[in-house]
This record gives sequence, C-alpha cells and structure tokens, in this order.
Amino acid sequence: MIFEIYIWVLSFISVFVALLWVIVNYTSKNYKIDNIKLKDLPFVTVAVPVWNEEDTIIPTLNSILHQNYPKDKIEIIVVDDKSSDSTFDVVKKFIKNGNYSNINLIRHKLNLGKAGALNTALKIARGGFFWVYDADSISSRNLLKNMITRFFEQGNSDVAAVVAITLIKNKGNWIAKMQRLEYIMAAFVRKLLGSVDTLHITNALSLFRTKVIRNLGGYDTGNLTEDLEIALKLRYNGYRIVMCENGNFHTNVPETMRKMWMQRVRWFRGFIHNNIKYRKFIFNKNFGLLGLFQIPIEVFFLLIVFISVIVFSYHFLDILIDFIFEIYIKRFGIFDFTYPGIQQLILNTNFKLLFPSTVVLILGLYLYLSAHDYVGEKWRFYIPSLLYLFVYPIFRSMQWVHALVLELFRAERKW
Amino acid sequence: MLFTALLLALVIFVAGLYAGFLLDSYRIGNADNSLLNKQLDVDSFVIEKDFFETFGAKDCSLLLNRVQALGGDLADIGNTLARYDAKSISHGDYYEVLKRKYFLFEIKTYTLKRQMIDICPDDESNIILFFYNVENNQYSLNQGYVLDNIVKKYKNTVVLSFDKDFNDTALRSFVSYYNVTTAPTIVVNFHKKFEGYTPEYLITQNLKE
Repeated sequence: MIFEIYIWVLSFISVFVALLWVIVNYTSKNYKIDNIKLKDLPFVTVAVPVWNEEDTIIPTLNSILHQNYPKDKIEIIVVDDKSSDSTFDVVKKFIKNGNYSNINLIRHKLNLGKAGALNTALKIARGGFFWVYDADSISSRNLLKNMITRFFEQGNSDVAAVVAITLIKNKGNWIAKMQRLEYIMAAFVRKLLGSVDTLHITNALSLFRTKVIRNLGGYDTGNLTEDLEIALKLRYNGYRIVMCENGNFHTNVPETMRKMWMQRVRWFRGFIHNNIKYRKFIFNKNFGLLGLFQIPIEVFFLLIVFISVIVFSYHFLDILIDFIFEIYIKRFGIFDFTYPGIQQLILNTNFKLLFPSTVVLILGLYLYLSAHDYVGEKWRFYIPSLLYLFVYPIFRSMQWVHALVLELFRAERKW
Repeated sequence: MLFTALLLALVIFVAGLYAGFLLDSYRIGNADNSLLNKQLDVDSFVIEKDFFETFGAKDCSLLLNRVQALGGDLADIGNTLARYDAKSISHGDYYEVLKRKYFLFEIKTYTLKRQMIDICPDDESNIILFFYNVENNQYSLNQGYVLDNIVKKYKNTVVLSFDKDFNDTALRSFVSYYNVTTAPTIVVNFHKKFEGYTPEYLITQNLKE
C-alpha cells in the first residue's frame, strides 16, 4: 500500500513538473532575433584551460580564431595545467607557425585543476569580457558576437554571464548518441529556466563580465563543478545569467560507460556540494522564483531519487525473488498462459500506473520534440532514444546514489 | 504559471481517478456477475442433487463432473478477484464483500463435494484445500505455484483457496475445524493435512490418479 501511495505521489509531481515546463515553453518568448547591431564590439579574453588535449586543442584554437569578430578585439590565453602529453609543445608550435601574437600560452608548474587554470587566465585578462572555452569545443562562427549582444540588450545590465547551447561533437557509439539527446534536452531546459529567470548554471562555453567574476574572487579551486559554483555565486550576488539562442557549440562527450559514469558522478557530487554551500537560496524570497521554487524542487527531486532507488530496489527485489521461485517450481509451466480477450485486457489494466504514466509520457514526448525543434536538430526514434527515455534514468539514479555516498564519506575530490 | 500547472495536474488526476473509479465499478460488476452465475450453478446443482436423491435416479458420473466443474470455475473467479483487487483504486469494501461471497461458495462447493462422496463413493477426483495468508506470503505464493503444477498434471484435481485470516464466521469455523494455525496449510481429499510449505511429490502421493 505504501508503494502504491508513493507511486501516486511521484506521478503527481511528475505530471505537475512536466505541465509546468509545457506551459513555460508555450508562453516563453523566443530570443532568436539578431536585431541589435553593436557599433563598437568590446575586447574579449578567451580563456582555454587545457590538460592533455594534444588531439583536440588545434581545432579548438582554429574555431576561436575563425570567429566572426574583429581580430584586434580578441586575446586568447591558453593555460596548460601541467599536461603529461605534448599539449604545450603542440600549442607552442601552432602559435609560432601562425605567428599569432594574440595567443598567450602559460604553463602551470603544478596541476591546479580547471578552476585554477581559469583563475590564472582571469588574473591577466585584459578583456572586459571573459570567454571560458573548453579545449574540446567547436563553436559556430557568430557565437561570440551573439553572446556579447545579449549583454547589451535592454534590461540586461545585471546580466553577468551568457551561456550557449551545447551540442555534442562525437556521435560515434550508442553512449554518445544517448548523450546527444541528453544535451538537447539540457539546452532546452536551460532555455526554459532562462525564460522564467531561474537559470543558475554555466557550461563549457560561457561568457562573463570579467570585472564581476574578478570582484567575486574568481573560481573556487578544488570545486568539482566550478561552472555550477560560479553560476550560483553570480546568482547569489544578485546577477543574472541568460541564454544565447543564436548559434551553438559542439563538445566531446565520453564514449565509454566508465568515463561517462565518472563524469556524471563528478557533476552530481558538484551539485550536492554546491547546493549545500549555497543552501541560503532555499526558500529565500530574495531570490524570487529561483529561491522559492527552482532550487528547492531540484533538492526535492534529489531526495525523491534516493527514496525511489530504495523503494524500487526493494520492490524489484521482491518481484525478482518471487519470479525465481516461480520459475524454479513451475519450470516451463511458467509459459503456460492464455491470452486475455479485449474485455479482460481492459479490466486487467492497472489504471493507477497507466494513467499518470501515459500523461507524463505524452508531455515528455512533446517536450522532447520541442527540444529538438529548439536546437534545430532532427528528431527520430531509434534505440538510443528508447535507452535514454527508459534505461538511462535507472543508471542516472544509481550515479546520484554513488555521488551521495562519496560526498557523505567525504571522498577525495578529484577530476 | 505554478498555479496553472498545479491546477491542470489536479484536473488530470481527478480525471484519472474518475476513469479509474469507473473501471473499478466495471470490474466489480464483472466479478459480481461471475459470482451470481456461480450461485445459480450451485443452486441448480443442489436442486438436481435433491431431485436425484428424492426420485432415486442418481447419475454419479454426471453429478461428480458437475461438482468438479464448480470447483474449477471458482478457482478462475478467485484469480480474477485477486487481480482486480490489486488494481483497485476504490471500492475496497466491495472487494471484501466479493471475497467473502467467494470463500462462502468455496465452502459450499467443498461441502457438496463431501456429500457427493457419500452418495457416489467411487469418486476418482481430488480436492485440495489451500489455506494461505496475505502478509509475509512468499511460502504461500510458492505453495500456490506447486498447486498450479499439480492442477495442470492432474486434470481431476480441484484446489479451493482460502485466506486463513479472513474475517467471516463460516470461514473461521472452517479454519478452526481443520485446526489451521500456519500458512500455507493444505488438506488433501478431506483428511490428509500438511502444514508449512509442502513439496509436490508429498502431495501427489496422496492423490487419486
């Protein structure tokens, strides 16, 4: 009975949240209008933290250099965080061969992590805007200009960061394909968060006001998700974050289960750690909808995940044990059953589960299609879609539990 | 927006509840109808038995087959009731009434079968009573699988299942008559009682081929 009630509560929450997103999507305005022409584009510092990126760094630098942006308004700072491969030499040779005077290469004597590398770049940055650019990313040509434009839109003087739509570069195997869907949905969710002014995350390609992040002390070294931390720090200090919906960038995602698992566990540990660090957001009306709804519901969902893992594991184990006994006792007799007629099929339907599941599935599909439409990607139903919709959530729940256990036992925070 | 979403979610849930409620009523009607038919079958059988006894024109084969068929149909109704009950949204009390009706029919069928043995002693069929409980019931479930196997192999066997803790005076008397204290407990052909989980071979040793 407790399980049944739990399923009902869970279904109600799922229907509510799915409906909320549908309404937000329906009522939100589209920012894909390039109607602001800046006469004088500001100077931008592009910070590229690198660690063992010898294979990906050159296309990344080329992507920055090919931005449709005045060359004299960009400086690139590549910070090599004590790579053990030839990244440093590869970049050095690239600068020398291309005679790029606007690329500054710095080498750390110690590995300080991504946040440390970004702080190094931040210290010497000359630009009024600080573009964090992951070393395995390729952006569309007008992205920087479009991102900058958002800072100068009317009413955006309190915007301290602009984030871009992230899509994936490598689409080789099913693990990457599954993440492709995840990134599409994530971009869409960020758009929705942006429409109700609750966006509180930055990503691999985010543009900041240099002065603001410098005044706030820069990046938190040792933080597993420095991009989330800086975003929460900005929001905590009254700044806003907005999406740039014109253009996107492509980044690499892990192609093995192990690497993906470790990456997600790191992200989730970062989520837990940073939400504890910025717990004053929760139910704080000073932060508007972000404090009163968005962050509390994220924390609440985290609790739901943990409870669900326990409840469903117990229930699944119960069914599994019974099934094993049934097979053991009945042997092949387990396959002896008669097909029910239509009337029996309807009468045997478990409405308690079917009805909310169907509603959530329909709303989910609508959001799934809208997300594809939003990022301009073709949607199709293939095996990775099914895995993403029905199998991945199970893995994701286990990754959350793994992250929580590591945080509870204060396991070492390392990349 | 929050309020609209909440309101819509509530509307959807109320609609879902209502649809579930309608389906539940339909299920109740369906199960009730089956039990009503069963009551008519039992009445018909009793009239037929009385007729044969009164006029001395007994046809043992026919009567035994009919009482056996009554037991078999009851097992199907029992399974259906259990499935519906597990899926019910409302009508918990109705299901209790239906279950009560069902157990009473089973006792009635069992009694009729016993009476038939006196009239037709050459009966070649088997009847098994199966007392289960709902709480912590893995042993009862396993016993149910064993009995499913037996019914498949021995076509002349009928199993009548009872929730040993169900609150009904007749059922309590029945449970007390067989001194059932644990679940599962089974009684084979009126006399042989097994307590706890009983493997298939032990039961089949006591069955008529």
